[in-house]
Amino acid sequence: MKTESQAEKRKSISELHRSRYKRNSISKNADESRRRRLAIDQALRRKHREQLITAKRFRHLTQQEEYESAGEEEGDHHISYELTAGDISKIEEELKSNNHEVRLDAAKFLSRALFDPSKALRDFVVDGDCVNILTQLLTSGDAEEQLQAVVCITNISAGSYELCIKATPTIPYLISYLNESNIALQDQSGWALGNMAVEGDEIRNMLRRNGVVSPLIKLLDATDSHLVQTACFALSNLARGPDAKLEEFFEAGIVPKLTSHLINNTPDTVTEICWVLSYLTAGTDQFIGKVVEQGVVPLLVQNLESLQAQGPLALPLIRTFGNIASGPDEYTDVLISQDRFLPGLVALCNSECRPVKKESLWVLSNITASRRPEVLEKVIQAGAIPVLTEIASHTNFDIRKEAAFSLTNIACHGDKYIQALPNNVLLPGYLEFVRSEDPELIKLGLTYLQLLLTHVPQGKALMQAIPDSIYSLESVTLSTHSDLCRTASVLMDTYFGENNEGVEQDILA
Amino acid sequence: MDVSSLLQSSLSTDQSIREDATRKLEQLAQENYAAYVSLLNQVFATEQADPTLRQLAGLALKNSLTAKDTTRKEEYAQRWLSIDQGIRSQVKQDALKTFGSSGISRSTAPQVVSAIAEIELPANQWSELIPTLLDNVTNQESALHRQASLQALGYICESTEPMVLAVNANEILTAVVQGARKEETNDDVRLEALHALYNSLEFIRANFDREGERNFIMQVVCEATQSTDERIQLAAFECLVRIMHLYYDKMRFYMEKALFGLTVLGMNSEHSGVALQAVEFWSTVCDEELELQEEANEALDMGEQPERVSFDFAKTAAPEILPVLLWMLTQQEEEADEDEWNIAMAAGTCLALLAQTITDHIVPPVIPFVESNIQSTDWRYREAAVMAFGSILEGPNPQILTPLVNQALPTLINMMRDPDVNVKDTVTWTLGRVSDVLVECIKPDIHLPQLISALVLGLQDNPRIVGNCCWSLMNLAEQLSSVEDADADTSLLSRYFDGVITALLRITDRPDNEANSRTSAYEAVSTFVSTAAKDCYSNIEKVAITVLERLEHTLSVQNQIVGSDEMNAHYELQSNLLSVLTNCVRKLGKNIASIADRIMTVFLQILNSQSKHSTTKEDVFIGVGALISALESDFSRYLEPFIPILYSALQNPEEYQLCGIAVGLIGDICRALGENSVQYCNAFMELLIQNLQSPVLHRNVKPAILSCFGDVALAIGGQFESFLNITMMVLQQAGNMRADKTNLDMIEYVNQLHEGNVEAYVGIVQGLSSGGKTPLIAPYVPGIFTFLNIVAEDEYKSDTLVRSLAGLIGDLADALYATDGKQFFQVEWVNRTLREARSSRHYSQSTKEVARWAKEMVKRTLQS
Repeated sequence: MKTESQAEKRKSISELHRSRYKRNSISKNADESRRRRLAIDQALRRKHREQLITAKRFRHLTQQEEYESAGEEEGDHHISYELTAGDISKIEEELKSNNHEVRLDAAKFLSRALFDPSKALRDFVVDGDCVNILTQLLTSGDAEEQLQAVVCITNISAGSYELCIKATPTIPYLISYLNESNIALQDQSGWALGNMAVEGDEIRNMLRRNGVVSPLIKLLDATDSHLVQTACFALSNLARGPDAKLEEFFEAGIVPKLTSHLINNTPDTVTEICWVLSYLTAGTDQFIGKVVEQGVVPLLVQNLESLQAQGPLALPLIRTFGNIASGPDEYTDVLISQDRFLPGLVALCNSECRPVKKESLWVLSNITASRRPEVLEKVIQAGAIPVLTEIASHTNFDIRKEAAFSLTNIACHGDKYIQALPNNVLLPGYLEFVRSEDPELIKLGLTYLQLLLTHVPQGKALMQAIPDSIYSLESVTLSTHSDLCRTASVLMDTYFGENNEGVEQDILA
Repeated sequence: MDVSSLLQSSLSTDQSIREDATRKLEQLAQENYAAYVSLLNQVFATEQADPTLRQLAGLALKNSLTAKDTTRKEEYAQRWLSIDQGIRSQVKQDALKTFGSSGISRSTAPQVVSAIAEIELPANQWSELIPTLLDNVTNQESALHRQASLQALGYICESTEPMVLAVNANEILTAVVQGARKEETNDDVRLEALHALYNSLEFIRANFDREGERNFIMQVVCEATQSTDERIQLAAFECLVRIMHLYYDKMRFYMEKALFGLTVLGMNSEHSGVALQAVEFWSTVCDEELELQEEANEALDMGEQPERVSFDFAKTAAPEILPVLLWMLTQQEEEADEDEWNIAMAAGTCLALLAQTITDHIVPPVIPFVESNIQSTDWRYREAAVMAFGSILEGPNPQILTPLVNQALPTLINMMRDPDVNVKDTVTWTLGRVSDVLVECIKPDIHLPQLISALVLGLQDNPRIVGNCCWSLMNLAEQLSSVEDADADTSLLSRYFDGVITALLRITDRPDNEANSRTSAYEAVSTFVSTAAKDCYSNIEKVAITVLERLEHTLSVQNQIVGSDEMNAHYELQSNLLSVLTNCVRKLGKNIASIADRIMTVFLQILNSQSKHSTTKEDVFIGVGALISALESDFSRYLEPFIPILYSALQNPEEYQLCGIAVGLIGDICRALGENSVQYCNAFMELLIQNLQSPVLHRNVKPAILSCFGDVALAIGGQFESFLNITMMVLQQAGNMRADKTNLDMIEYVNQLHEGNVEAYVGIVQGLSSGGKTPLIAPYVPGIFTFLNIVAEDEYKSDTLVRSLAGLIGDLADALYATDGKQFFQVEWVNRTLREARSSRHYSQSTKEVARWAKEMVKRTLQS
């Protein structure tokens, strides 16, 4: 009927809006789901067809053409097809060619293919003759070919263990190149050795036995900042693990060499230096002492401000501070005696970069963990409490937790400290910890509630003012973790039980 | 029996008399349409005749002129135009005379006139109609007559192509606006004029472009919003909504002068229809401004200036309209009907649009409303608070929303236990929105366990909320599954997989599909399956078996079902089950082998059953496609029973959707079997060519047929030689197809056709070259290049077409390496096309890669 259709048309804009009300993506009727099923079916078929025709295409390009076609876009030198066994034997032949240009091109191509090796190429490295042929290039005496071979080895050693271990026979050559005067070769060899060092204790031992530490540390004398950074990359990988034999590093005089680069250098280099320091200080107190005694701390603090705005580049610096602060009290004192240290650290706690924020909070919790009044006073003076309070009551749980550790460290120190905290702001946040499912968070929350109830006169009233807070505490008494359950039960009985109004009892005593 | 008696009998209470009369009338119309029309007209136009009969005759007349179905409508039009001029003139004159006649419904004569006009005006006939109607509107004394003339004009404006009416735009507008003025004292006439104005807004663009005329129209409409007659107010607001939609660019002046005030006032009107239209007005403003923002972004991408600018009306008005919208949210109906559209719903939609339009500015005014009402004792306020919160989740910067959502999540999850079902429904929808657009707020260790258990609990609740629970779960599955790695070892949802699936399958066990709950649950199962990580594969196999059992059960009861509603429900259930099963097959790939026999048995049973339900057969075909891709050459053992069914689908072009999937299945079979498919290829090719040339088959299937030639050639390589000649011939025919540049549908269709054509050439060139028969294409190369040149010069070509085109150029270069054929690449357009394909920002990364490769192939061939 005309009249109906006219009404329909007049409603059309409304219809459009009606269909958006509480819209969700579920098909509203059989027709709609049918259309979707057909569309998905067609899209999948198109995908299968394209996969088939594309697979036949790229294989037709020679390596040189592939290289040129990719070269049009900067930096994107990856090879876009899977090399087959046939392709590999062709490369193998070319690598053995009598013609220098052919060998060089083949090595260049191989190094790119090794970024993301195909099955056939992995077989060539693991079971085939790849490393032997590369070793022949290393001994050829031609610097260009040596360099390309080392690039290949770098990429092999960046792969999985089964690939990396195959590259280890070349270690003596690589170490000898560290002493050459060819900066490109030195740099590439350092990089390859650094890649190997990541792979685990077995290969690190191999490298040490071959005497890698001393020549690497000698590279720190270089003036080329790129080379210094590569040396640091390799050294920090070598300094990893429980069995890193750090004595050798100190005996070779690593600390003064590192320190010299901390003065007036770019953030890139400072960061690499700090990575090495963070591994040197990650071990025993003895090694932390050796670093601190040589006067590194003031130089590190000098770099704090310039790294603040650099996001993740500040991480190794922060980690080094954290390692130092985890040592004996006198090391912490060296840190906080630097006037710019604590304010700088508090500022880092407000960083936009999440890992920086988190690790800075961890450092602060290491510092406050000493629970010495003079330390806590300095922390408070540096403006930490408002910053920590803000973090502990907003943002994400993992970050809040780190801030909460410091606050609890401060609160533990006595009435004066806990009463100085903005407990009305903090309490709701800590209650959320109590309500979480993570035992560590619950424990943190309970510790705070206990301190609040025992050391803050209006603590109980604060709790009662928040709906559900007592219910949250009570729910922990059902926890399967016995210590949490016990603490919560005692708190409930003591403060919110039926009979014992106001009985004071230090339950953690 | 004469027409009057037949009409009389068609109203009889006796069914057999009634049906007999109707049949005889139809018969009469078929046998002698001219006589039928004359007879009806006599009754209709005779003032003294019985009013009921006149009414019936008028409606029968109109129904013989127009129909909803376009084919029949066209038939009726031809039938009318083919009868004698004299009879047609008589009917037209009589209908116009009947305007204003008392006794019969006022709209009947205008409907008859408009139905004839719709046929004759586009054929350049009855040119005196519009002037006559305009004369009536201006000079007729009788208000009824004027009203009927305006009504006829309104119907004509609505149903006739704007292009046809544009020549009369001036006169129509003059007459209509005159009737809509406040000086028109008869409200019925004025109302009819406003309706006609509404329908003419689209084709009076030229008038609207002229400031003087525009001012006058706007003045008339604005004045009408102030009428004391609510019907007139409503019609005027409807006009404003449409004007804003059509002429946003011209609205700045009027917004400042009047519309801001009028519409804010309108939102507060006691008359709910007016208030609703005022909300619609602002929703429309948001629609337009969102579109303008999009245009501006696109222009920015292209480094150009946008053609049109947003005046930011929404941002300016927000402080005034937001409080009213928030209040309106609390005016819900108790038991809102699915199809209802009321103020609270309109306000919810408007708020969501406003949030997208003014982004961050929506947050500060809305949050206090949410906070102060979310714990209200009145369900209306709780629901409104959650609705407001859920509506603003898209638009503002996620960084602003994240802390708010973090804070609200525990409360929202708790509210899944609200006593009121309306509240629960909105809470579930809001949780679904959070899962969709702000999933990072849902912390895996803190919120996820509670959220999922609340949603699973919700699945057992009122069917109304089940849909949104399923939607939330689907969003979680989609958002939390690893995007980069489709087959991750595990995911955040792996530990919940079994529990969620069990709960979903429990709902689907219910016999009914109330509030679409069963369909929703099956869709959620499919999503969970297709996004699952590897550690859930064994559970997916269990899902497949459960669904298979249910499918087997539906088959066993199929013959006992009576009644068409029950039958439809049964087919819908089968579709749901088949869709889940297909997703399991796609996910498990080769691992489906252990139950493949059982799946195929059920598929064949359904296909061989008496059921003639096409959707179910389509779903089975889609499932078969998934199974072919999963099993690859192992599928060949099912071909013997399946091939006859496939052939019969290909011989039935009336069911074109099924036929289309069948064409796709040929491609699947070819890819899966490779050279072994050669034994079927004679039959395949014959059926494909038949279908391509069929005048009955829906055109949408034809591009897929072309691509399928390529699939066959790719599979059988050199053995395609025997089909080469005929295929190249039909491809060349298809390549000659051109689109009229004003017809968007046609442009798209020809694009698809060309794409299919290029894909066919790709398959043939690659196939012949892999079979070592490259030289065979030499005679066809000049033709292919002529076609490619035309495609390359087409400014409307899509990304996929460009990718196929570049790929084909590369394939041809490879095939013609070191032959005479290299001359074909020494033309400017080849180089230009490839350069454009690898550098223009319109094209996707994969297109650029293919074009880069093709460039190298061309270079190599040119150097050969």
